[in-house]
Formats: sequence, C-alpha cells, structure tokens
Amino acid sequence: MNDKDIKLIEDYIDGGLQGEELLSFEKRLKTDKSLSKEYKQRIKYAELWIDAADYSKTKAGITEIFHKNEVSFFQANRYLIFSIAASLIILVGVYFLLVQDNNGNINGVGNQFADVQDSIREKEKTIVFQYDEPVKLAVMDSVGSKIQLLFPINGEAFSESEPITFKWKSDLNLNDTLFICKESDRKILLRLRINLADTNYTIKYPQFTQGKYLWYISDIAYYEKFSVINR
Amino acid sequence: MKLTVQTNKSDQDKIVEGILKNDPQTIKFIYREHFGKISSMVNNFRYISLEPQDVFQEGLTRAVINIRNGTFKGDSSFSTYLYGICRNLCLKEYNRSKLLTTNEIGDIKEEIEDDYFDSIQLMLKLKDKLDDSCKKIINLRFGIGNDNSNITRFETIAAKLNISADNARQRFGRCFAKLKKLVVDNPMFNQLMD
Repeated sequence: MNDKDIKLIEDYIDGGLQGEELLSFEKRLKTDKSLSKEYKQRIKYAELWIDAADYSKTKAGITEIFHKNEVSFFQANRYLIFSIAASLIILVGVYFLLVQDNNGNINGVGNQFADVQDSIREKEKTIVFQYDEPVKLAVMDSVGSKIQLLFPINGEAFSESEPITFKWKSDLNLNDTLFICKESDRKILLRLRINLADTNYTIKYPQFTQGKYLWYISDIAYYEKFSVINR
Repeated sequence: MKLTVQTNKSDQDKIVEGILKNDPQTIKFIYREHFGKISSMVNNFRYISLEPQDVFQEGLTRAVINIRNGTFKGDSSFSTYLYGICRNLCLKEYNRSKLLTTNEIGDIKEEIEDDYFDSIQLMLKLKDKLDDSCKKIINLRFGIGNDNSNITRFETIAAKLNISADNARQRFGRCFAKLKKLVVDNPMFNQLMD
C-alpha cells in the first residue's frame, strides 16, 4: 500500500473526497482487494482503539466507585471503628499497668504478690512468694479499724537478708491483707494474705533492697515504717 | 446451565437505566447485591489465582459495555448475566491451567461470546507499546475525548498541536503504521481479527 492510497483513505474518512475523485475511490474499494483490505483494517483498528479507550474509561470509573465505596464504609463506621480502637488501647493499657504492677518486685525476682494457702501459713507461719494473676488485685478484704500495728514501727532497721516478722494486735478473726510499700513512691511491693487472729507474720527471705518502707493492714487509717540497711 | 442468582424485573430495569445514565449509585447497588455471591463462586475455583474483586470489576465492566452497546438483550436477568460473565472469566482462567474438559469449554462458548473483550485487551497491550506521542495523535485522530465524533480532521489536530496539517497527517501515518506492525506481529491478535 503506497502513501497516496493511505492519504486517499484518510481523506475519504474525513469526507474530503468529492465528485470524480470520490466515485473513483469507491469504485476502487469494490475492485481493488488490497485497497479494500487496507480500508477495512483502518476502520476495524479505529473501532477497536475507540472501544479499548471506552473499556479503560468504564473500568476506571467502576474501580473508582468501588474504591470510594470502601472508603465510605470506613467513613460511615469511623465512630464505631474509633470506639473499638480506643477500647482496645484502654484494655491493653490496663493490662500492661496490671502486669507492670504485678512485676514490680524487689530485686526483680518475680512477683511477690502472695496468695498463700491457709495450710502453709498455719503450719510454717511463713510466706511463700508466688506469681499471681492480675485479677486478684481486685480481691481485697476490708476490715476497717480495731487493728494496732506493733512491729516493726518507727523505722526499725533490718539487714537485707534478715527475716522480718510483722506483728499486730486485733480482736478480729478475719482474713485480711498486709501491704508493704516503698516510702518514696508508695508503690505496693507486697500484698500478704493474713488472718488477723494470727497477730504476726514472718517473711523469711524478704529480698528487700536498701531503703525505707511502709507497712499497714488493709485500709486502716495509719501505717508504720521500717527500713532495710546494709550491715 | 442453571444459575441461581435472581433479580426481579423492576430492579433489572433500574439497573439498565442506571447504567445507561452512568449512575454511580447503580454500580454501588450492583456491588452490594451481587458481590457476595460472585465472590463465593470465584473462591470455589481451586486452580485459579484470580481475586474475587478483580473478577467482579472486570465482569461488571463487560456487562456495562454490553448494556451500552445493546449486546445485552435482557433475555436473562442482569444477575444471571453478570454471574455468567464472571463465571466465564474464571472458567477461561481455569482453562488456561489446562484442567478444563472440552465439554465445559463448549458450554462457555454458548453462554457468553467474549472474544470481543479479548481483542480489546490485546489492543490495550499493543497500545502500551507505542510511545506517548503516537498514542496522543492516534487518540486525537480517532476522536477519543470527542463528544459526538469518532474522527478529528487533521486541520483540527494541527491546531491543537500547533503544527501544520500535513505534519499532523504524516505523524499519524507513521504511528498508525507502527500500530499495524504490532498487530501483524501478534499471532493472537490476527486470530481474533479473522
């Protein structure tokens, strides 16, 4: 196919052929197979090119609507999604707070939040430290008054490895909790399950580091102090 | 072949009307109503790697184009039609993995003739092989972006590109020749064009 015929085809498509030139071209289309084939190809390719462009445009439009639909789902449910996310953050925060508190032990040796079996306490009068579950932090007995703290008081000093016997006086025969905190930050280091009628409790291996400490039983209105020193 | 997806007549008329009006709400409605079933169907094909979202978008594109150009006659419900197109896409992909029996292939051909879309996708691939200036002048000449006409005269192209009409004609001629060569060199395309 020569350039002249290609130009003729384009002119014919443009409607630029007239009179004798037009008649001659249309006659050739019927008789000249090469020209006819070229013309049909030209039309076919153009149709396909146009349809391909329409296809691309249509698909892009549909994809965009789907994308917006997905985005609008998040927009429509953003409060619900934020609420769930906030709840999760709070739950995770509470969990870590509890775990941190639970692990806030002395010398970094596990949790000393003891929940001692009654039988052990009665026989040995000695606390056995063990790991506990955070949920038990919420289980604390409250006694109130009628308890007097006897020992240690007024900053009594103990060496790091020395057993400490906590003594109190009470007319009650109830289970209660003895708390030991660091004086500086009031962070609870130990929660010991006791019976008030026992009047004393011994920690054989306290593992306290040097420093000043407070102790009290449940929610009575006062506490007593003791200290651990290096002898 | 029996397909179980149903659309009532009223919904179908609204869908066709919405598609002809390019209404985005109609596309959203179709998505809400039909994506779940089509997604399940796609996921039931074990040996294909197509994503349900891709199949659905491709199927819906074809359905929309067929409605616009009148190929969809409404003999079956729109749901069935869309489901059939999507299923056909999956079966073709399945066939490519050489796991489909001859009988099943025959079934597909009766259901939906989609060589047209194969030709379109091949044309898009060939178009991508042309440089941007060629794509631009062919797009202009074939009236892409024109509202009413599928042709733009060389004088108009020349004015848009700030060149002479003869120059525009020559550029188009060269680019169209490149396109023809790409077509001739592609055996798959020749098969589809026959």
